Amino acid sequence: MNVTHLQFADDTLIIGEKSWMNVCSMRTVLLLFEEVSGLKVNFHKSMLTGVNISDSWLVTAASVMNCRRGALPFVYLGLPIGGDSRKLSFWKPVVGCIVARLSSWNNRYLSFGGRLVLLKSGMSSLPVYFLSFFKAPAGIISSIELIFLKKKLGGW
Amino acid sequence: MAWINWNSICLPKEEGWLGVRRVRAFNLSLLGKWCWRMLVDKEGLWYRVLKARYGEVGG
Repeated sequence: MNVTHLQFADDTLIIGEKSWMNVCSMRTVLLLFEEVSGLKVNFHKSMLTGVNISDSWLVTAASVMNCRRGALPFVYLGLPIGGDSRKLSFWKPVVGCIVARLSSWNNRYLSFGGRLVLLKSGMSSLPVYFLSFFKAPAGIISSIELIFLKKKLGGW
Repeated sequence: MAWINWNSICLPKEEGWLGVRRVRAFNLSLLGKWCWRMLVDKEGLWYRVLKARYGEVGG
């Protein structure tokens, strides 16, 4: 089975083997696509990322492609690809997102019931996307629960 | 205000508790959905990639 590319919405992931011929033909195909469709590919927003490929080769290939050199982990469809879900730094955006959302809400003027509804319908759905793909380490789970408990239920 | 522990907050609302989601169980159930999909959705790209990469033993 050969997966050559993944496309969803405005994100495109093109996967191929490391070779100069692949780099050149990919560049040609993308430029031809621009000519044919009239849609421009923004090479400055595109990244060339290698898996087990030397940095020097990537730098030259990226300059030939006229795009940036990417590094693992990168974000595709909102999820980090190639990261380690057992590391705490992997979960930073999730926890940060919850904290940022909470700080913008002034929950002093909400009743206990109101804050409970906010917690159950709003806050606990924020990490759903991450939790449906990665197993969260125990430390992250308890810190998320602690944020909920402190900020929402006891945040007088 | 009085503090109660997280475990009792997560108990069902029908029994007079608050019925907040338990994050660990929620995480496991969402991941379990992938196991379920592996059994149900055998035409999906995701399943075919896994099959090509790791093989298929015991259905």
